[in-house]
Parts: sequence; structure tokens; C-alpha cells
Amino acid sequence: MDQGRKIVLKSALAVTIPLAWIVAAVGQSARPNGSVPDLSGFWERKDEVGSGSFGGTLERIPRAALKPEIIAANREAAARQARGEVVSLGSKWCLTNQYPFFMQHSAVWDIVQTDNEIVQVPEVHTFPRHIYLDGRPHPDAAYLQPSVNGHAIGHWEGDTLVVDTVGFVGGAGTPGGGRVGPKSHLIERFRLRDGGKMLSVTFTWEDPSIYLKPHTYELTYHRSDPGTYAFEEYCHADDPVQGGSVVEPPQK
Amino acid sequence: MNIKAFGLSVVLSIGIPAFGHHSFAMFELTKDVTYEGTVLDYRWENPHTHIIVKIDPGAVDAGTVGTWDIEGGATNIMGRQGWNRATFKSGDHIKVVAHPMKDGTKGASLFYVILPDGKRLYHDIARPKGEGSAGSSNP
Amino acid sequence: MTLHERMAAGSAAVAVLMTCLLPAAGQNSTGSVHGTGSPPNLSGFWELHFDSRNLPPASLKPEVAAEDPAIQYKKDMTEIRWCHFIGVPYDMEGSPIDILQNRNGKEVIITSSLRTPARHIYTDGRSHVSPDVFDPVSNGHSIGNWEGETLIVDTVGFSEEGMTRIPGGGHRTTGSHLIERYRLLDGGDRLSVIFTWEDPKTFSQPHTYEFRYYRSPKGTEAREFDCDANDPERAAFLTGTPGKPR
Repeated sequence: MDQGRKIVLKSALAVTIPLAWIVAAVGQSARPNGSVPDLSGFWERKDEVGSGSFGGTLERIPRAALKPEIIAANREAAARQARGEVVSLGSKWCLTNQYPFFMQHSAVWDIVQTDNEIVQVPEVHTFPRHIYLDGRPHPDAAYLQPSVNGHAIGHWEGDTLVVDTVGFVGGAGTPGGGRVGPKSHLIERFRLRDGGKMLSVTFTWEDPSIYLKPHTYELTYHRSDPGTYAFEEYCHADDPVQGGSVVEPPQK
Repeated sequence: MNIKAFGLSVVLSIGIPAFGHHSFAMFELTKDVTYEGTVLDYRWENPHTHIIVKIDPGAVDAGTVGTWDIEGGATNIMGRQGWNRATFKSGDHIKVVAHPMKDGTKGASLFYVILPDGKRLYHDIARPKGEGSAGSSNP
Repeated sequence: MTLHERMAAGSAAVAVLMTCLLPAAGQNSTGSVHGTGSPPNLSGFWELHFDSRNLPPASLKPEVAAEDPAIQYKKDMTEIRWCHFIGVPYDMEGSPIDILQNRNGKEVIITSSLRTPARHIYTDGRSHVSPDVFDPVSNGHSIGNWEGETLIVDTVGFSEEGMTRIPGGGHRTTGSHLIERYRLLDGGDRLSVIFTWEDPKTFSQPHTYEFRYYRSPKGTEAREFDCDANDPERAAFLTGTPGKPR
């Protein structure tokens, strides 16, 4: 190869290599930043059809296909509740609300979104839920620490955020009569609707110890008004009224 | 985990607000009664806001005469529906729709109040049957 | 210079120029690099080490300085024993903290491993909520704005719930006003937070101290330090005499 051609070749490489590097770097930063929907903001449930009561707002959720022993346990618990028994020690002692409690609650919750992480921030007494978007896998089972919100990892499929969660402590119920156990696996799909005014979240629970088949339901949320700010739902287990209820006042 | 205890804790966490430490089965949730009287006490607190209402003899609904404990929700739940610590004070007139206790105790679970201008302030996201809400935070 | 030599020199110059421009081309969501015109990105997990605190003693009002320390101790232990919310400033020591700076620029969230509400710092230009309707809370109401590379956070509306003790002396009250200044250091590896408390009930002059957090290793995950007020052994430990068997 003559000297001229060598110079041309070296020159071409000197330009091409940095350009390729730049294209790769810009491409890396442009895809997450510019192309995914912005789910951030405060979100709230609304009773869109007029259900008559808070419990009624969840009655339209399809019933889960549960194992017989779970159905039996549900019936017994419902019977005790119908007799008016005070049974929720969790409330009396302000125990931490387990996921997905805040997703079906009346209180608003906040999404804050970065490129590598999304956090759902509820008002109820529980922990914020961290969804890691940086490509990390779930920890090996030997190192997975069960938690209230489980270990959640997410990725985008077009305009849909797909979240995969394992490692729940368990104990919460789900709409449709299901429940969460330590072996439960949850897949959620978050998707904006109506030009970003609404958020649809589809939940699919899998747990062979609880369900006969995966339990899927959808909840929709409305974007809260601009200027919405978070409240704090304090709970004082040392306050006598925490375990109390209606008290008929003196009839003067 | 014990299945029965598990089931118990689960049922109560499904459709019951965070502070459902008592069963809402103690209220007749399908019955709406209107209580119209005077606020004796307005307690803006957790786990439940309480409005003590006195209804004098001569009320439209004679069954509501007496002094009632109308139980609302936690302050963040009610706050999101437009309530705040100054919404009512002792001496105010009040018109409240609530679900009475099944056992006849003069207590009820708040559904909504009707303000003088006709606007409603609700306990939580629930709306009367057939009256769905959408749009702004507190229609 | 021959044509070939000019071509080689020109190509080399382009390569050098491109290499210099490369760091500015991308938004690094975990570090300090940011595009021209956009604020620094504070997002990430941050932790306190043994050398993270510069805590001068506070100048306290005489009546506060004379308070029996057992009173504050008892209050703090009650909050812990009964799993009350913790609030500011203690939740800033719930290491690691996770800061998420919303990509739309409207909010910054700070979470900790403690079972206490996350801090919401509204950076959308709003003002504080009127005290006539705002229910004081353990974290107060925080609004933030950028001054160059520094995020200034202004917080009022505190309740007396939680761990109210302030590093350096004094305690948070309903009249407290906190100004914080957040700034990245060392190319984004460290985060400086300067806290300045003003409270005529507590301090004879504004009290300022600084934390310098270290960025946590890549892959750090949020922890949940749960709290069970119904745990009798826990309650006995927190309320009993240290070392005394139960």
C-alpha cells in the first residue's frame, strides 16, 4: 500500500471511530429520554359508575380462580366480618400496608420517573415502591430479601411499562378475592390513556399455591389536578382511638 | 403461614380503607339516611374524622332526633375530597347523608355532606349508585 | 503541507474535537453530566459515612438550652417504639437515601429505608400552601428551585410528629423553617446538602450544618426497615433499662 493510501486509510479511521462512538452514545441517551411516555404525577381512583360504597368500587373486578382451601378461608373470614367482629389487628397496630393495598385505596399516589428508576409514592403507611429500569435482574433467590413491595424490575415495550415483581412478604389481598403470598409473581402493565389523563394498570398474579390460573384485572386512575400535593396518613398505635370506633354521644 | 389467619387479614385489606379496624359490616351500607342538625364537635383526626351532630325534635325524619357520631375517613382521604380542618366548626348547620349502624346505636358512616350551595363533600371516592364521577379531583 | 498531510491533520483535528464534545452529548441519568441549560441530576442512592457530617453546635435560646435532655430523649424513643413517622431531619439520615429527580423537572423525591413518608420537593414553581388549610406534617411542605448548579429547597409546615431532634442541637417545631442547598461535588460522586434552620422558638440565630453524602455503588437497592409496634420483645428493648433482662 503506497504512502498516500495509508494516509487516507488512517484519516478515515481517525474520523470513523469517534463518529461511531458518538452515534452510539447519543443513541443510548436519546432512546430512554425522548421516546418513553411520562407516567409521573399524582394519580387517583374514581368511582366512575357510582358504586354506592367504597367496597362497591371493586365489585366489578373478575373473581379470581382460587384453590379450594383459599376459598374456604375467605368464606370463614367473611362470615366473621359479617358478624361485626373487630378483626383487623393490622389497623390497630398501624402495621405496614402490603402491596398492592395502596393501588386500590382512596388515597392518591405519586409516580416519579427517571431513566433508571420509577418510584411509586403512596400516602398510606408503607414504603415507597422502587421499580428498577436499569436492566438489573431479580436477585438470586438465596439473596432475595422479601419485602412489603417485593423486588420490582421494569422495561418498556413501546408505550407500555412492564413491571415484574417477586419477593413479597405477602399477606395483602387483591381485588377479586385473591391474595399475595411469598411465592407470588406479579406482572403489571402501565399504560397512559386519554392523552395522558388516565393511567391503566393491568395486574396479573401467578401463584400455584393460591390460584388455579393467573388472576388478571385492570384498575384505572385519573391524573390528579395540577398543584396536588402529598398528605401524610399518620397512624398512632399508642392512641386509644386507633383501635376504637363510633361512640354514641351522650343524649342530652 | 396459617391459612385462616392469612385469609382473615386478606379479606379486610381488599375493599376496606386503611383504617377499617372495625368491620364496615356494622353499618347498613345500602341505606342512606339524611341527618340535618347542628355540629357539636368536628374532630379532624386519624384514624377517622368524627362529626358530632345534634338533631332536635321536630326534624323531618323523626328517627334521626338525637345526638349522633358521624364517622368519616382519615384526614388524607377526606382532604382529597375537599375537606379540611376548617370545613366545619361547632355551631354550624349541617346536612349529612350517612349509613346508620345496624344495631341502633346513634352512629353512622359518613357518605357525604350537602353544603348550602348544593355542593357535596364525600367521605372517599365512592359515589351514589348511578352517579359516577370523572373529570376533576372533586366533582 | 501536501494534500495528504492536510487530510490527515484535518481528520485528526475532527477526531479530537469529537472526543471533547462527546461527554456533553448524552444525559447521564446517574451522574453529574448534563446537557447545556439543564440542571444537574441528583438522582441516585446516597449514603452517609463516618466523615459525612460537619455539625457545629447550634446557638439555642436559653430556655431551650436549659431543657432537660431526657425530655427530648423520651419523645424520640416514644416515636420509635410506636412506629410513628420520622420526618425531617432524621429521615435524611436513613442511609442510603434515594433521590429521584423527575425527568419532567417538576418534582424531586427523597426516600429512605425508614417506614416514613417520602419527601416531596415540588419544583414546578408552586408556592407553599396556605397555613389556613395545610395540615402540618412530619416532612413539612417543600418547594425547590435551581440557582445555577444548586437546588434550593424551602420547607415550612412541620408538625411535631417524629424524630424532631436537629443535628447540632435544638428540635423541629411547628414554627421551624428549613432551607437546604443541594450541590453535586467531585464530578457527581458526592452530594453536599447544607441545612439552615430558622426557628425563633428554638434558635437565637440560624443554625447551619452540612452533610456530604457518598454516591452508593451501582446496583444499590432500596431497603425496607419495617416497624411492628405490636412486637413485645421490641417494645421491651426500647422502653426498658439497657442490659436488664426481661
